[in-house]
Amino acid sequence: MDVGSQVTVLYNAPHLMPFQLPIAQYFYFTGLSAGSFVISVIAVLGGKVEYKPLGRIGAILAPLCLVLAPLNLLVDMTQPLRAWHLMTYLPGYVNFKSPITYGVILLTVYPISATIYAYFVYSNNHKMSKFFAIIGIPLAIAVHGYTGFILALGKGRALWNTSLMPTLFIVSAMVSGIALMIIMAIVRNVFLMKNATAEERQKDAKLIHGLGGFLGAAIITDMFLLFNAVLVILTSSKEAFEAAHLLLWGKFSMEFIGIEIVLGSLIPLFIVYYPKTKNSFKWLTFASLLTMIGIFAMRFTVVVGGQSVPLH
Amino acid sequence: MKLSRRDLFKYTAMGGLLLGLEKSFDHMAQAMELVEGGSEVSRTTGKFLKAVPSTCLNCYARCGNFGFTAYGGLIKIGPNTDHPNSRGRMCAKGQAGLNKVYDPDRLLAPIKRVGKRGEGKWKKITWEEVYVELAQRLNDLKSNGRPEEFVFQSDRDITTQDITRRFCHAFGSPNALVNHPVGGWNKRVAQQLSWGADYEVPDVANTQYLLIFGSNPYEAHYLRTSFVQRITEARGLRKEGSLIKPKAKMVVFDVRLTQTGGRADEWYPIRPGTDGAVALAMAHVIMDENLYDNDFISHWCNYSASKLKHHLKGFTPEWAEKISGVKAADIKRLAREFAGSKPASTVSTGGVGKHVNGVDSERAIALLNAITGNVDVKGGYCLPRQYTFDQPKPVPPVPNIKSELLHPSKFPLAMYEVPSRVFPMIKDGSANVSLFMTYQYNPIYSRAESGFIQQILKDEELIPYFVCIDSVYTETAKYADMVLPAATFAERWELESPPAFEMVPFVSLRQPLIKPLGESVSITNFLITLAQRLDGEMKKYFDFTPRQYLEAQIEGISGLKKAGGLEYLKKKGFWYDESAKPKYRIYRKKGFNTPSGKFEIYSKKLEKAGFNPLPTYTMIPVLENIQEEEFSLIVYQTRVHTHDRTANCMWLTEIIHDNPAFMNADTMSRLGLRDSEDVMIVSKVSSIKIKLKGIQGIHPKCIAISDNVGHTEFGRIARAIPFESEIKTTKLLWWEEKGVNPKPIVSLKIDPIGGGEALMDTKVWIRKI
Amino acid sequence: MAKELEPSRDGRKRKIRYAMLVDLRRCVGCQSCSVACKSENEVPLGKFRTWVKVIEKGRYPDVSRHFLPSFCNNCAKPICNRNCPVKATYVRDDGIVMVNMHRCIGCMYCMASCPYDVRYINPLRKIVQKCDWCAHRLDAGLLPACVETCLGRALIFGDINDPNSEISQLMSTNPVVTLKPALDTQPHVFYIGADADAMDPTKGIDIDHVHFHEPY
Ligand SMILES: Nc1nc2c(c(=O)[nH]1)N[C@H]1C(S)=C(S)[C@@H](COP(=O)(O)OP(=O)(O)OC[C@H]3O[C@@H](n4cnc5c(=O)[nH]c(N)nc54)[C@H](O)[C@@H]3O)O[C@H]1N2
Ligand SMILES: Nc1nc2c(c(=O)[nH]1)N[C@H]1C(S)=C(S)[C@@H](COP(=O)(O)OP(=O)(O)OC[C@H]3O[C@@H](n4cnc5c(=O)[nH]c(N)nc54)[C@H](O)[C@@H]3O)O[C@H]1N2
Ligand code: SF4
Ligand code: SF4
Ligand code: SF4
Ligand code: SF4
Ligand code: SF4
Ligand SMILES: [Mo]
Repeated sequence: MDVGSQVTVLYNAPHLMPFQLPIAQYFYFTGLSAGSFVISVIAVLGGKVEYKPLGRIGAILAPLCLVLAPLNLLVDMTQPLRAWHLMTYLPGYVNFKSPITYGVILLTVYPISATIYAYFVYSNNHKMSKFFAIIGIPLAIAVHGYTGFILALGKGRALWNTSLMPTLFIVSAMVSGIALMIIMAIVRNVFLMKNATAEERQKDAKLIHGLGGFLGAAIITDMFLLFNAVLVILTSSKEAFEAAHLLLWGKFSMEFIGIEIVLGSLIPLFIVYYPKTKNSFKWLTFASLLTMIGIFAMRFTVVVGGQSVPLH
Repeated sequence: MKLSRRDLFKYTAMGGLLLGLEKSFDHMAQAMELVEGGSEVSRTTGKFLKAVPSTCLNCYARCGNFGFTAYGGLIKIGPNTDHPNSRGRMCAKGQAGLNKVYDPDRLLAPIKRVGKRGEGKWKKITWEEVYVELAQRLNDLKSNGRPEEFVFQSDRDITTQDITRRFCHAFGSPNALVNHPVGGWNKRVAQQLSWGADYEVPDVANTQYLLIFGSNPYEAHYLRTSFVQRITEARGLRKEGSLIKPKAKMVVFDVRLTQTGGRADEWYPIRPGTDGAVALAMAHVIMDENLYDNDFISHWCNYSASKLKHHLKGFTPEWAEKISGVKAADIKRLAREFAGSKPASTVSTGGVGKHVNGVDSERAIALLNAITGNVDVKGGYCLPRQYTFDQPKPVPPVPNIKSELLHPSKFPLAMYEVPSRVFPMIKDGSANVSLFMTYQYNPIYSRAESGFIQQILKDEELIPYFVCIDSVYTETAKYADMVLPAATFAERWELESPPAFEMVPFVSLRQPLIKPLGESVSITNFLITLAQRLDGEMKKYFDFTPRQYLEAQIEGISGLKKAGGLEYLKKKGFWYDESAKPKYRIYRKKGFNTPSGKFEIYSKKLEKAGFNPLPTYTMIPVLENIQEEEFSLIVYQTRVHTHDRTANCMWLTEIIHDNPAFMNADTMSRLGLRDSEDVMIVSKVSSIKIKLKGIQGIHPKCIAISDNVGHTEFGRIARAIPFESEIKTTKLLWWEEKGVNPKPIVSLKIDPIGGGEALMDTKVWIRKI
Repeated sequence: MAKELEPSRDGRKRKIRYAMLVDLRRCVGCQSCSVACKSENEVPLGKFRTWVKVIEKGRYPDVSRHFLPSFCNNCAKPICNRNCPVKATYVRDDGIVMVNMHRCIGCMYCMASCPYDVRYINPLRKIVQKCDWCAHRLDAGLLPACVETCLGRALIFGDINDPNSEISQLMSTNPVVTLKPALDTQPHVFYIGADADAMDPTKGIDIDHVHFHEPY
């Protein structure tokens, strides 16, 4: 055996794991919010009347998820009463280089614009809702993109420290956002459209099936990005390799390969494209649920798995 | 000799430069620009704190420290920069002295047993009740004409042994079993036989070669902090005048890879108990190849070179290889190197002495220094430089009562009693004990066959009354009739004079850093007060205050008295004669303190007692022909603990709280044993359940289990129990393992010459569970 | 705060830049540094501002031990500082990366981003702490507590902008390395004689069974 490899660690200090479940949940909820907002906006900008309901659902979900998201942060902070420190936007008090600061700004501006947007969407003011949709899109992307930046600038963790991270986070936000929208739309179709005509329902169902295709495309993009990320971290550095090991065949392979890839991506992909399932509400709901679980698993493995390579 | 740490580096220079870059030595003179210590600022106010210089006693090394206080409390214990031995450094244990003082589980009031012995039921009593009860018992003993049945034992009581001995003698009992460490026991006897001093002090800062047998100064040594800092210095390049001296070589023989061995130039995993054979074979080579110092042998040894050559004939490297497993070629090379690199010194402690052939092996190792002329030369194997202290007059005479406990007839050469025989002798009736008192001693935890000791202490027939004086409720205290709270080393007045590494003896004062907590009392105060309550002449012999006692002790040291005596010590913490220069070969003046006045290669004392008078090798019966499935059990000390006394120091126990049984990983896989697997380790005496850990750095025939952890009493920190206390952080205690005490399976074996306990001579088996 | 040096020979004033040098040829792995720090800075149980990793390597009987004391590197490009949203982390003129205990919100982002895992939440004070080279002692002209007590005198601390300081001298005549230099945090804890295997966090462990402590 190679002598260098025969190493036994006899003493070392405990390893700490600063970001835990609440942070993963926080990322998850911001992702949902951003995803549903973007879908809603696409619907609104698309202009077709049929899309209107989708625009409405998204307009509600986006601010709602965004209320839940920072709650996780507050819970996680050891000094929640000092959260206002984050908003003393005075030079010398707030660090404009920190992604958390971008986040705090976005988290104040985006919900406001999203709420205004929702207001106009519901008051059927097309012009204004379009206007706020256009303003909202970069904000929504930024809101979720910045969470990607939080990780990407977490330099110590090889899994996070990649320029793919923000894009990956945005795409996966889309995936979870669409999945949530599909579920909400199906709920609406099944339970809330009692008074609608069959034709109307038909139209709505078609729309939902279309969303399924959307979901599939998003999943494919997401998987492509993941594939890129994994392929690169397998070769970029020792720590990165170990992180890849943890995800692919190590401690987190269940969460990553099992839940995120197989359950959360491959199976839904099959469902949304397989002719016998793609038009079934039941299957679509199932696929969407799986996707949402898968994306949560992704958030979890990235956050916790990323910190599971010891640093000393 | 004015040695501030800063100056010191001017002369010895920073060691460790790889290349002979002369230029860089000049720069070393600056040392670090900030002040190195002796001061402490408050983190909140930035103000300097009050500093009291004192002397650590979290182990035997006795380093200089400072206690920093504020608001009546002790804030920190830090090192004393100018202390001549420890020079501003303190080990982890010394730093954690603070934990010891503020141990939430410290014993702070006298308690008296109410239930059955060992049942653990107690009631608090007052000191008045203590004195009344003890005075009555002692007076009774005395009036019944059995004062010798008062037995006082304190195993590692270095500093207070004089006053406890005084107390026993004044009372009329010879049985003051107050002496040095069991680990050093055989060594001490061997050294006394060879050259009339207790131990050697390697002049390490000036040495070129350290040949280490069974010693681990990087982690545990009786002068550890002072010693190890000089080793690292010697391990780099040093400047002497305009010369650059090469770094000293360090060779380690140890059955396991210690921190010392792991950083040495060479490490030899030797078979346990065979160091004497290797040393003799080296001596053989040195004599055979005429590499010896004829001058020293002919003038200062009591045995001629030619006779020694003859004696060593049979001890060939090939013979030693068969015994020890160290290759003959290595033995030869190392012997030549050792003889050729002057000055050189050996270092040997527990790994040599804690075997039944300890005295013989120690003497063989000492011989190496004698024949190479390294005895008491600069950089060599030096005699200890220490002061001895006077006793206040009148000094009580030694009671004229023969004591088997003190001088067991079976061990005629064991000049400092045989501590491990105390309990067996009580058991077999060769010693009668009525009142047994221990101080700073936890035999149920620290001694071999601790289960046996437990039984004896439990037996009220054998020991009618047992008083345990300790600062915590120990495994031993559990079996006492009365437990008295002792002041810790941070709360006492005592004088010390550890062997000086700068070769100029010094006096070091231990003074209270704070007042004794709770109702704890220092042993000196306790004995003085108790003496006042006793009949007869006791009062006369204890007619002094603790301060007067200290003053009387330094009466004979005129230089110190001139400098200001106790007041000087209180300010500085230590004293040495600043005009004195290190002197070497001090034996030239008055000879060695042996019957012949020489270094005794041949010991008439040994001959008279029926032992081989010459350094020789004796096989260890139990370790001979050790079978495939049998192993030697090695019990050793770890770097951040001192025996059991530091187990409640949270900062230390946080670092080491567990002690897996270390085994050679290849042996383990051959036997189908897995890492972290729980097994039973079985000896003739008993068995323990412990988990295994495979490593490469250990002899395939050894199992090594560290001492220090595995308490069943002692306190919650020692037993890994988180709890709320004034020290808020105790609730954050996070580890779950508390280790396993290996002593129950260590079999009690004693070196027939030295009387020291052979803690490393146990044969064990592994039983899977 | 940081003191200015006397003008040097070239007449220019220089700023102090403190740094730590760990000479591993002299380290004995005693962990005194670790405990001295706990005492000096009231570091709670479970957390360390400095610790000493100990490894054994090689195959019997050719085995050796290696140590690696770790501290906050007080980096010249501290990612913790860049990422702290509320400027609770700031950098002193002398290069020490500090945490303002009154401002820290405990978001733990600095901890998550530091590549050396040297920051911790003090569970009793609920804020982030780390080694600050005993800034309170430096300001009083004293060496850091760990440096002061180091048994092997393996820790050398001083101003690397002063060419005559011991640390500058040693660094200019010996090869030094830092931990994870590729990350360009520009650590200011330098090592002489560090072992590559000891510096590798993933060596000698089973990565799938590493236990992680709670952050607070
Ligand atoms: N397995 C194994 N066992 C060993 C050894 C080994 O190598 N391996 N080594 C042996 C050796 S060398 C020795 S010296 C012995 C040591 O054995 P012991 O002398 O029994 O152990 P210590 O821990 O030194 O101290 C004993 C008691 O002193 C108490 N104490 C500490 N400070 C104070 C104080 O200031 N006042 C009072 N009154 N009490 C105090 C502690 O609380 C502790 O209970 O152990 C021996 N046992
Ligand atoms: N940290 C710390 N320092 C201490 C103490 C402490 O408890 N902790 N206690 C103090 C006291 S009282 C004492 S006595 C000393 C003890 O100090 P040491 O004697 O240095 O320590 P030990 O651990 O008893 O034994 C030293 C080494 O001997 C090895 N050994 C065992 N058997 C053999 C053998 O047959 N041959 C060889 N070559 N090696 C062998 C063991 O593996 C061990 O590494 O330390 C003192 N200093
Ligand atoms: S070596 Fe012993 S005396 Fe010195 S500081 Fe450490 S515990 Fe105290
Ligand atoms: S080591 Fe970590 S905490 Fe320290 S300055 Fe560098 S990045 Fe910041
Ligand atoms: S935990 Fe404190 S120091 Fe760290 S980034 Fe957050 S606010 Fe800054
Ligand atoms: S410099 Fe001070 S804070 Fe940093 S590790 Fe050393 S003692 Fe602790
Ligand atoms: S105190 Fe010094 S010698 Fe001891 S472990 Fe720390 S750096 Fe190494
Ligand atoms: Mo000892």
